[in-house]
Amino acid sequence: MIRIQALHKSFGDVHAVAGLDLEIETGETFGLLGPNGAGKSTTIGCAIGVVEPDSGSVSLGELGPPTDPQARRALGVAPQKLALYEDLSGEENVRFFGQIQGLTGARLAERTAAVLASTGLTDRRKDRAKGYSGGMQRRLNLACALVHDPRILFLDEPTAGVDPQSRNHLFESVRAMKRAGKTIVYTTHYMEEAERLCDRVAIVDHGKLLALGTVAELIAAHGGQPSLELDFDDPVQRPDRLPEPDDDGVVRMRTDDPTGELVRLRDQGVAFRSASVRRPDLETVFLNLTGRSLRDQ
Amino acid sequence: MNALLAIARKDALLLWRDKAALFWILGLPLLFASFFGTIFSSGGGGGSRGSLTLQVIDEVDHAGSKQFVARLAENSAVKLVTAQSAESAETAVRKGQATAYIRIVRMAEDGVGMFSGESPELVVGIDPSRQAEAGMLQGVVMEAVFGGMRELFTDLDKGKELAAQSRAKLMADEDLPPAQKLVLGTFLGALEKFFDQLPQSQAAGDGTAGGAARGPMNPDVEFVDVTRDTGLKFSSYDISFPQAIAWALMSVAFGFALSLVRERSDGTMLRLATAPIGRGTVLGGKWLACAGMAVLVVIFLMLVGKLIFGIQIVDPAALLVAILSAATAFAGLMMLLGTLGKTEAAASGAAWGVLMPLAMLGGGMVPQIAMPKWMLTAGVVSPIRWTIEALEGASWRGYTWGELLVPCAVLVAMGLGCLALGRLRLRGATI
Repeated sequence: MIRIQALHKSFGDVHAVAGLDLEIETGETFGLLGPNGAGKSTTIGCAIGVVEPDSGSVSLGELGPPTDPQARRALGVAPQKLALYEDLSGEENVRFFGQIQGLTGARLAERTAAVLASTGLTDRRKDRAKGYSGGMQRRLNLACALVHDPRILFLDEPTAGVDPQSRNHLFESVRAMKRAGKTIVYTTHYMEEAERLCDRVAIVDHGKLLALGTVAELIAAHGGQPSLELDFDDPVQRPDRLPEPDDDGVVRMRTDDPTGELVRLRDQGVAFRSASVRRPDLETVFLNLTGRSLRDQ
Repeated sequence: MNALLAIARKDALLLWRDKAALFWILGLPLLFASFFGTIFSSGGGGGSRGSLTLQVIDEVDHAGSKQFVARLAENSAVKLVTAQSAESAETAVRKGQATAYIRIVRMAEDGVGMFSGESPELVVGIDPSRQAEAGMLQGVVMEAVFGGMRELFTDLDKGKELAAQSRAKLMADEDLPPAQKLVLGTFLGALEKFFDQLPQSQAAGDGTAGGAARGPMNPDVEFVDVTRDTGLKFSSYDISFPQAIAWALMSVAFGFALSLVRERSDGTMLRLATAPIGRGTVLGGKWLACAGMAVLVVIFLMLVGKLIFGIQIVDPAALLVAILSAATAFAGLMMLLGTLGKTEAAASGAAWGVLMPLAMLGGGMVPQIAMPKWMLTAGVVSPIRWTIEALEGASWRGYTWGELLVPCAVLVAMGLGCLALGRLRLRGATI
């Protein structure tokens, strides 16, 4: 279990993390979501032991604090920035990070081959990393984090800027790691990734925890009502009791029973070109909690 | 230890694969050493000193002036060129085609003028940028002037003849007061007798007629290079290679310092920091790679210098100590340079901002002989200065171990100091 308690970290006047409490269960895939500048990276920095908190604590269960060498052996980190040596080949990169994790000899060779295979890089293992596509570099980034077979993985935006094929491959890799019983902390800006992969999700902003739970729990608690979306040939001809159309000409009705409302409109002879029901999702939750204003930093 | 070696091997491999960095580390120093070595060796033929080109304008053009020019030509330190005119000689000096010119305005017909009272009048013009050679040239000219007197006192027949001719001229001079004529005539007569009575062998000094007598009128000027007598002749490449190696070491330190900054900005340092190794191992690996690369680069350049340019290596063991000391200094300096900026651009600018003054003060750009005293004094802070001294001392200057200890100890101290300072600065740095 990863336990983060009353974590505080400031950089000058900026309170990056302001009293955060989190508990992540062993074997769980945990999503950490938040807008830019929410404090995700600082939280992860403290959790992996490279940022010293001002106060509070981080513990990796029985392994102790993340600065302990024993705990570090259990940690695998795939940073958002591609932490690779571009002038080394894929294989040389993986071997090097395996060596600094203490692997040698046959075990190093075996693990290197295994993670290159699992990330689909075996055929290109002798090529230099700078010749890889963005998706391949992301996969290599993950392979370097996995080479020492860590129990706990921190994956920071692992699919940023990759093509759909690589993205799908990365999803499969994460699922495989989950099946293998690893604890995964996953940060992303893609809400559907969190919905698909994470057992539980935490949404943070301004260094504080805003919501925590399964995706269904979060939607139920913070998603709001479903909306019935109606498209008219001429929105001016809509019945008076329907709300004003949005800028795109679509009329959106918030209702707990969109299907029943649709039947009632039909029975009243309201003519519309098309109708759809939009149920709240994690993105709705995220925007409801963190607002719609732009975050440029 | 496995992790330390892995980091060192990785950094060395990365540098080896960076062709641009390799050019600065190996290509440029080789060009530097061969270019400057060739320039300063021109005309030297493996010797240590070139000759001064001297344009001669003989406005008198008689036997005495010709004797003077012949005496000048005997000196191997000067190469004489007869000028068409004073203007052309001046132009040649101004354009750097000649070191100096000498204009013979007046010269006694006997080439000496000792008894005729006719002193020589010479005008020597020298390129202002060649002041270092001016003193040497003055000595050469004075030697040629006094060389006439030497002949007078070593060739007795000539001395007697000159004394007789002067006495005849004296007696024939109707304007000279009788008393003065009497005194001078008596002196010249006595001098003729003196030349008659003096044994030829005693005048010649070693018994060889016309040989080089020793005495105040016959300065025996010999130019020697002040190095320990190793029995070897050093060349200009022996000087240019240590300088070039200092540049190579700067490039090695610069390259590794940038790689340290790159690790921090690219995120690989973050991955290293989360590994079960201490920060000391991470930095130690980089230090080891830098020091190891520095040693290999210096050995490679010295071997090229030895095998292709014939530079001297008097004591290989001493040279190895000098190389290890220099590598320690520059690997430490690398660690400090790597903390001077958070981005490659910032660190690059700051690193050159440090390295260039060190190169200037240490003799990496301007030879130390051309430096003012304050620069020489300030140069003691530069590892370049000590590196050059250590390498030259171990290669061709033939330093004793005691003499070599000073530059090597200074280099090691500098390296360890910079390493400690760099580690201190990195301790507070955010990865």
